[in-house]
Amino acid sequence: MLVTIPALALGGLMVWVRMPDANNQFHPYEQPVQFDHRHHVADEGIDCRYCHTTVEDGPSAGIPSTTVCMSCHAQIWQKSPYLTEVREKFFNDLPIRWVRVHNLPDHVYFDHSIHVNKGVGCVSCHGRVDQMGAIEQVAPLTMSWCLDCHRNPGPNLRPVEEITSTTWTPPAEAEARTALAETLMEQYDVHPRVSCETCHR
Amino acid sequence: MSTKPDAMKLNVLASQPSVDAAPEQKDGMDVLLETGRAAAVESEGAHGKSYWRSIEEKLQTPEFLESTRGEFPVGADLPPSGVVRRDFLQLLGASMALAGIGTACSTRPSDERMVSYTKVPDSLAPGVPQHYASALDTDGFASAILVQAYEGRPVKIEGNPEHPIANGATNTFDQARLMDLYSPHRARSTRHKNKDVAYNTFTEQFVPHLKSLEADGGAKLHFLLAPHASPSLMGLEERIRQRFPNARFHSWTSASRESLTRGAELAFGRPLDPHYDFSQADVVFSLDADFLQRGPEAVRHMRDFSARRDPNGTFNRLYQVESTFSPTGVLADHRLRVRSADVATIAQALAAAVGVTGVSAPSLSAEQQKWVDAAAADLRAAGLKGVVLAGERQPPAVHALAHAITEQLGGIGTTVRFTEPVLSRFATGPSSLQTLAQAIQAGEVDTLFISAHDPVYGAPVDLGFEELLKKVPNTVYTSLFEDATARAATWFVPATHALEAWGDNRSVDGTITFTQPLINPLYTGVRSLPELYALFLAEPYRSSYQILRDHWLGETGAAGFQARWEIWVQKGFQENSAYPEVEASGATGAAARAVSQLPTVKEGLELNFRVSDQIGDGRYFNNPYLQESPEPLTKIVWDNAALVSPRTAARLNVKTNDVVELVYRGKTLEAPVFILPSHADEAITVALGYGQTGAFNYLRSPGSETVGFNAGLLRHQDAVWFDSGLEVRTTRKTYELVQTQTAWSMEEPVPEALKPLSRVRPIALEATLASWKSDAKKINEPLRHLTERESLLKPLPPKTGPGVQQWGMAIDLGRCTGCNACVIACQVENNIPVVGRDQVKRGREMTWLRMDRYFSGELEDARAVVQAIACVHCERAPCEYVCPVNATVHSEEGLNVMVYNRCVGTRYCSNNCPYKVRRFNYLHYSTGKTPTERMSMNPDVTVRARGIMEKCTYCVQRIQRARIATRKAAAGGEGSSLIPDGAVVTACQQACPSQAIVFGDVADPETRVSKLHADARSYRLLNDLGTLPRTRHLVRINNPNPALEPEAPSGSDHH
Repeated sequence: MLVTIPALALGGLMVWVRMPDANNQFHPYEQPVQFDHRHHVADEGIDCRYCHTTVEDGPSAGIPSTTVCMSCHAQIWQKSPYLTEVREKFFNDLPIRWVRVHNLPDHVYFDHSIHVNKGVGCVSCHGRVDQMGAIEQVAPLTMSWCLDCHRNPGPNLRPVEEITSTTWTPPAEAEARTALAETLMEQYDVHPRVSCETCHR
Repeated sequence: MSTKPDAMKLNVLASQPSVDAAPEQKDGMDVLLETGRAAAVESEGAHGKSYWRSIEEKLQTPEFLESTRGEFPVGADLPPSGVVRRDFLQLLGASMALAGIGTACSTRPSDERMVSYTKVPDSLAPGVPQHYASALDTDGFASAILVQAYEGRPVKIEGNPEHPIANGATNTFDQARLMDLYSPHRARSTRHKNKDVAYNTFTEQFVPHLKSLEADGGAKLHFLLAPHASPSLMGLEERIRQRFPNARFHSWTSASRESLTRGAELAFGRPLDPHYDFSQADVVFSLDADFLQRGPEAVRHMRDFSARRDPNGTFNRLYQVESTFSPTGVLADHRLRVRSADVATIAQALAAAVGVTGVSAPSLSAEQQKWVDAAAADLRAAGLKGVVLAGERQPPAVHALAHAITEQLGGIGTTVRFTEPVLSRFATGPSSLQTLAQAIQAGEVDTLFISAHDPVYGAPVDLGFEELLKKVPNTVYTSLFEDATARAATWFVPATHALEAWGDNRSVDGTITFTQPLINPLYTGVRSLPELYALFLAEPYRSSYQILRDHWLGETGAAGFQARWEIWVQKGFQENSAYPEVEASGATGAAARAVSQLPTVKEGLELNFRVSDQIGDGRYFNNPYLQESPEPLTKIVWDNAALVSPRTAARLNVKTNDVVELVYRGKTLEAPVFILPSHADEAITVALGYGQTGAFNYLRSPGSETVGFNAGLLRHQDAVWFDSGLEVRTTRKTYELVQTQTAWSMEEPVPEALKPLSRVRPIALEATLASWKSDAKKINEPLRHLTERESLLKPLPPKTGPGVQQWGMAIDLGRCTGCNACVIACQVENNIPVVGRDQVKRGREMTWLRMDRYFSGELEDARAVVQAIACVHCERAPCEYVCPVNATVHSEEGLNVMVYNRCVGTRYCSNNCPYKVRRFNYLHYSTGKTPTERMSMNPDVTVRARGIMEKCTYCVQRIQRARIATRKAAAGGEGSSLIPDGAVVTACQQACPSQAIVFGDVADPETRVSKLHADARSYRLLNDLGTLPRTRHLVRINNPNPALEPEAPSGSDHH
């Protein structure tokens, strides 16, 4: 009894931290602006990089400035009540305070640019945002999840031309899939690191 | 092993002699001195000389032996006060029980916000650092910098790599001045008679008042300016003169370099600035010139001088005459310690010995005469490759003599060049203050505008500047901090930091250098100097940007201005704007006149003032990073002391930590004594800048309202740097000065494996050039041999693979003066906290990079060697074997990495580290910071919490940044995925003006670091342990004159 209760509690905790809920997965957040990725990505076909401009250049993909929003919405839907907040912030030169969905711990230093330049598509980590009304985190974003890919990156690589595509799929046949992975590994000189200091500084 | 022990000419660090060699404790320093000499002989075997960190160690006093019994200093392991970890865990357990574990709580914060820009600034990518050229002013000279900013937030200052003076390097002060920007103690409100008022209140009252001064052309309007050569400010001053033709301008700094210009005037008939070219100089003779540490050109001096300290090239030789052991003196091949007043006599003797006409030889002691004659012969042999220079503390006549000797040698135009002086308009020394004081006494001053740094604190005490200010009805003062002058002035306007406003100035060579702001003023109440100047012009408000731009538009014309302007601002300076070289001759002819102007040498105990190596003349008093940087020679932090030689201490019957009364011209000052080896006898040195009133809580010394004592209270107009006539009275009080390096000892009895080779443990190594040239291999062989030794530590499997590079570092002891620029750079880059005096006392300083200083030789004529040491990244790292939680592990690139979030704080690793480079967060040093202080944090480096071990990472964030850039280019088909040599520059390497630190890939034999590792001078520290450190040090080579070192050619070094 003295052993089982703590053992169960400990075991329970260990199971719990591996549950999606503990990892903040599948939890859509209400944002200050009811921005719908389904509409912008799927219906309008706007490339991710139109708004997330620095994804290829820096550690952060970048949150679009209100100027980016208004570059279209000064012309279309300029009266829409959904955009009241955006207009108000834009004309008052105030920032929109978005809720952070994909939030890595502070001791993790992740860099978007190296991943997209090496052929890791947006979908691989962020899922089908073109099907999300409100953005939610689909990947666990745990260290073991990161390491799974760093140890075997091939299956998650795609040609960089398809990097922002939400619908690209690797070839169906196993042989072709392996061949593509090998080609891309070679072509992009992919050899991910698993040393601690890669992500922790 | 073929080398016989007696063939070794290496100077190695001695082990501590056994306890029974310690002298019996007797009263009286002279007894200790005698026994000390005996002990020194005891420990110096045939294998080199003994090294020691403090006099207590040298003398093996019982206190020293007591303090070194344990590895860590007393108090290092005391439990911290406040909420401790165990309490915290208990509380955590209780709160979890209360909350119920089953509730749906996520492991991540759910409501963290991302704040978008409304309009993204040009070329800004979040997380990608941007670099802007700017400049900082020191005593009127611009030092060109490159500032690194993240999202508009400056976090690091480097030297401007393209600027002719900076060439990418900085000094300690410039590194730390970023912290002034974010200091929570910055003044932020305009004050009227010490009450907060709105800035508008000031302008509303002051501007009409100025109108009333117009009547007599501003005859009662005076300006006391910080020295500057800013073209735009001069333009404004010119216009102020147009409105107030009778206004008078004065200029002053407490660390004036006027004597250089005046000395050249005496020698050549007109005021000139000397510029020394140490890349050309074979023999350098310095008369009290701390030219590697002080002055606006020191960064360039360091670079040129140290490049000539490589035995593979033409080696130079430095003779240093000085009273106080200086960082320049550390690198000297021969150092003569004399009182500052006697430096003039040495100059005269040297002039006579070199053969300057009209200079008769003064009488010197036989020993000194021999020294001077040998140096003179050396200088004559060097001819135009010889140079003699004098320091700013010496009177102009000594400078004139130095120029006369250089001219006699033919060095003018080669080793020294002259230009028009940069600070040409006004006197900057005490004479200018005297003129102002006379005007105030005569009631001729109604309004005084002060931009000079804190004259109430820094002005010579006999001026009574604070009393004088009370006689001026309207005083306006502007400064970064609310200091003594701010409290004495009628109006005080807080100033902008250099990174908050536009401006321009000239570098020491005349290059026009621009100050570009990186950030809007943090406080709305602060004003830049040009904005305040503009008040005197009765014109509409213009920003500092507009003022600067308008000035240069007027100066250079509108045609093509925008293109010019953009290039200037981008580069940070105007190319080819340095003053041209001026023909200078006639110094030898003026030598006789210079001799006649030499001050008479007075006997008696001499009082020396020195600008602090840590906090300057006091302007960095509020900068904790500088307060905690150890004084280069004494290693004292958070204090100044009365430095005295061992012999004089014995005569005065005082010892370190005794409080004495310094009595000079009827004024008395209490100061703790510190005995500094190799200090001049019959002289006491005190550092200026300390003891300012109104010090903030955390800056205070125990039982005091301030830090240190104000040496300026003894400083007089006619003796700003030194004077005889000091009297020292002993008191019964003591005061504990806190030093670094007394803890963290690497020395221990010589390991068994080393005993056949040496009786001493090699740590900081030196050899003479002569022995090196004849026997380099033999000298180094014992060190290399030790790598073969069996080690308990298992060898690591070789790490190879595509894209894997092996990092390593080389630190050249022969180039290092111990200036601390690297230490501060490391602290700023890596978010290393300042811990305060009390924590340093317990050996809890956090600096990853420390600067060890070892003395060697006789107590009275000791030499010093400094050694920068951080984690050496052992290939077989002892720390890694003992960590129970794998928090310190090896990366495939040879980094010994520290995983903070695994660390549970057992401190086993620190215990097992032979180099003592691991630092433990005993307390929450990084919490409790103000929002502005938090802004100074480098976002690329984790801020560590309490209970975490940390240490040098080889700037892993810089490696990663370079790696990502290289690999992105490689993925796009450009170049290899290996980081090219030179792409990773560590913070310490970047700051080092003498380029003593080199970092790179040691697996590639073509990199700079590999070549240095392959150099015969390189050695592995504590090699006998078999740890295979990746950082290797390079043996320091000295180049003594054989005429002065008779035993040098054959035997071991010196005893």
